[in-house]
Amino acid sequence: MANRDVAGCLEALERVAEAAERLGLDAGQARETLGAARTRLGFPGTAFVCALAGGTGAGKSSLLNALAGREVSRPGVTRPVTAEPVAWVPADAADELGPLLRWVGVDRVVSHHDPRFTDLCLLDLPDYDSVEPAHRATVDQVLPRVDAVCWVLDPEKYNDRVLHEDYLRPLAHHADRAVFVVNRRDVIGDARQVAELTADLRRTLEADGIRGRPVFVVSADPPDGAGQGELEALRAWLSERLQAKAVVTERLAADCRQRGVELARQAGLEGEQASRPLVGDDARRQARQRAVAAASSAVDVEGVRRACRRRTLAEARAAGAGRPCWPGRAAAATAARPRPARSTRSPTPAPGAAARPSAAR
Amino acid sequence: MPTAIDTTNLLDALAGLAGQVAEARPSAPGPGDLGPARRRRLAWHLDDYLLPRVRDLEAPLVCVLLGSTGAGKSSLLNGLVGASVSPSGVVRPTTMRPVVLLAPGQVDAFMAGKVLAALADADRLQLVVHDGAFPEIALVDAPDVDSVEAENRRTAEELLQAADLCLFVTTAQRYADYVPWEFLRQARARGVPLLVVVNRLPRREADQRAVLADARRRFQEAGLGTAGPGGRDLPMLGVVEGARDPGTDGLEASAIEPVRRALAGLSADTAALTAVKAQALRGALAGLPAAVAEVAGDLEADRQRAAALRAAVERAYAAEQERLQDRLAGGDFLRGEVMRSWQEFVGVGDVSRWLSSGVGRVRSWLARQFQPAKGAPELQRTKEQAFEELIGALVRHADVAAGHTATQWSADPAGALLLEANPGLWGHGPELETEARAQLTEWLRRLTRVVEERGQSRRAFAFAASLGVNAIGVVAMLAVFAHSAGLTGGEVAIAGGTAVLNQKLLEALIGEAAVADIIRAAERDLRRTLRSALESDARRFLDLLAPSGEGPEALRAAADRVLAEAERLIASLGGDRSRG
Repeated sequence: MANRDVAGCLEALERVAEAAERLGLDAGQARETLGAARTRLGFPGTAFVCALAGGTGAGKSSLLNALAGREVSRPGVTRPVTAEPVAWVPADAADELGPLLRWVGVDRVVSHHDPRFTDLCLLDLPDYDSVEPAHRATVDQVLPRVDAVCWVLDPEKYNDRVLHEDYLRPLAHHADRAVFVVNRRDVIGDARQVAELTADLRRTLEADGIRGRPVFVVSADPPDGAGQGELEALRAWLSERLQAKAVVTERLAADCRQRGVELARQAGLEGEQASRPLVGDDARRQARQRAVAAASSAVDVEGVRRACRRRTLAEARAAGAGRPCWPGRAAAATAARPRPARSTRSPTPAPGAAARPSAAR
Repeated sequence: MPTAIDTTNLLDALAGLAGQVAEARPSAPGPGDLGPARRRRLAWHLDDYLLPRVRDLEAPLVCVLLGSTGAGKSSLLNGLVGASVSPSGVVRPTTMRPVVLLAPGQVDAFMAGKVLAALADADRLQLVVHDGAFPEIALVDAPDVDSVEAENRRTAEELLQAADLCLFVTTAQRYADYVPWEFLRQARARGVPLLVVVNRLPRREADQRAVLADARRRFQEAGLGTAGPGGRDLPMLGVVEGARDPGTDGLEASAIEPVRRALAGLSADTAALTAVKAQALRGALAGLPAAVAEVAGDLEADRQRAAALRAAVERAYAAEQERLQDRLAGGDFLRGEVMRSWQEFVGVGDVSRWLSSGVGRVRSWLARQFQPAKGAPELQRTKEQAFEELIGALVRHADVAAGHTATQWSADPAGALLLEANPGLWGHGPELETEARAQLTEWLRRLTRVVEERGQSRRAFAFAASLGVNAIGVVAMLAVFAHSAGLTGGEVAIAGGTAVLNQKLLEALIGEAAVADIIRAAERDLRRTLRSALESDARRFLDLLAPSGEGPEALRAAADRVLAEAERLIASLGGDRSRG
């Protein structure tokens, strides 16, 4: 059922891309998305990939370790740490997921037997904001191919320009499969300050076009004596609320929709314009009137009529007719016809021949 | 004491350079071009730092706290003073309006120095006077360099350009972030001394050491290893996470004692203060040639791009100008409606009859035709239609020229940006029709006047006057069109006899010899009129590219003068010192 819906989406995008190409627009991105979506659907199994994305020091690796209950990815105090993405996958699905992960761009895989995450493959990504440009390049390469994203935010960094302008805004159409985790709850302060921070985060997210998404405040690696915050709730959300099939198909559908919208925008079909034809009725009528006026002013109707009259007269005289009485319009019509008709059909026209074709008609 | 240093020449040179930089606005910046930001930074550097500092080396040292959002700049400031002078908080970014912290009695000195004058004038500075502040040091809490608030980043850039000393605040989370390092590169380029505070260090001492060592390595790799005050090794002070004093809304005094001590020591030591200011000034002057070279290079590139864009405009309009003249010469204007109206007016059926007859008979025929009241509407219509056709053609050609230009511009990133801001450039200007009509009316008036003047010397003009000024004008106008189209008596059929008819009419009015002259002159005038209409349409493009300022050469020369004056000044100081 869900797959059929996606197939419909892909077909629709295919048509959009064709239409756009006919208009001379570059549909390369749409084609790329189509290719990627088909590739993604071609991988077997039900498991899906959720990436942990965030700035350097946000605690992506610590969070993965906390969720796993053991060290999967090595965290560190000097920045930046993780250079290569690490995948944490259910052991049962590991073989099946292999090709998918390689396509996503992940080589390092750690498998697990956690019964709560049977369909979920968690991915620890490098940062996108450090002085290491290669890290960001890896993130930019992996992100478009994952099915869901868990944004790991640091209390210091949750309103960084890079996060919001370079990532959240352009990816707002994937918000339905995004979850936001503020790490290091222990350094924020009391419950009031936590509420203040999350309210501010929600405000900025709304400005990015992201509404009503869950925000968990956790301490992945708390100092002694501090709790882990909402870590358990996050774990439950990840294992229960993200439904594997829906995630993949909805993600692909959202990609298709976004590409379609982008192409429509390029074609100037946006907002109110979208429902209107490219050329309005009024403009069409005016253009037609102008064309007719221009054509009629280019032709001297009266002059043509006189020429026709003269010609008919001359031909009629040559054929031996006397002074004809004027069937004005008929004569004009005849003269306007091409010559050969006369010479082939009636070499010696009888009197009144000039009027014949129109009489026959 | 070096109070008697004469800085007049240097100040004059600096003001000259600042003027050049202010004038060196790019006319066609591309999207994402670094040029405008570089020019802005240089302007800030001159206005907010170099000029005030050269003017008054005694004014308080400006120490700017710079760093990421959430790095704890405000907490550090509050902790240093021991009071809540800049609100800190968990909501990012916290500080939007820079706080300037001064010790009592320093406000006048600070304001007189005109440091940060632009910000102060715009009421974007918050001046706070506190006993806990450091005498002779103005501590400025800058907004962040990297939050979603873009305005903050610009303010931070401006403050960096104005600093004598930069207290760079980062954290264990942040020290490898990309954006702050861009700022540090700017700091290095302008040679400002640095102090670094690494806040929010982990609690384990081994971790702290690892972080500080790694941070130091990064600063060294960036060429900032000896960027400390006095050219010493970069001081790097660590502050442990969570060491907060709720009473002051700041970091705990004990945790930031090294920072406080560094600033207090500086504040108490006049020689050290002067040394830091001199170091910053030397660094700033040393960095000036590179900065000016960049801006001059940007300006040069901008001029070249503007020239290319301008050439596209000129090409497109010249081509259409030629096509329009060709069309005029092709006789297009004499067909269609104009001819028909005119023929209705003069009763063209008679034309061939009296073409061969003498002027006298023409005149008597004319007397019949041009009854003042009779035919006025046709006359008016003929004129209107002729104008309509001319303007229509002009507008179409202007439209094509604008379209071609816009297409060419859209292929250039800067041109595309200009087009985006002025979408009207894709077609002819909105004023073109009205302006062209006014110019053509003026042209016809000139022509009519010439015919009238020439006619006055002739007996025949009494008759001409009886025809009415309008008729004379239209006759002359059509004669010009016919002439432009190169019609001769032999092509009477094409123009329906108009050419010859009009020639005859004019000859009757003003004499044979004058006719050819007048018509040729009027035709030249018409071509000029059309050309100027097209040119004014092209000006919509060209005005956007109007070059400002005197150009890169003048900019470089102004910078050379600054350096020469600075060298002379330093040499004279050296002389002073050796004598003292």
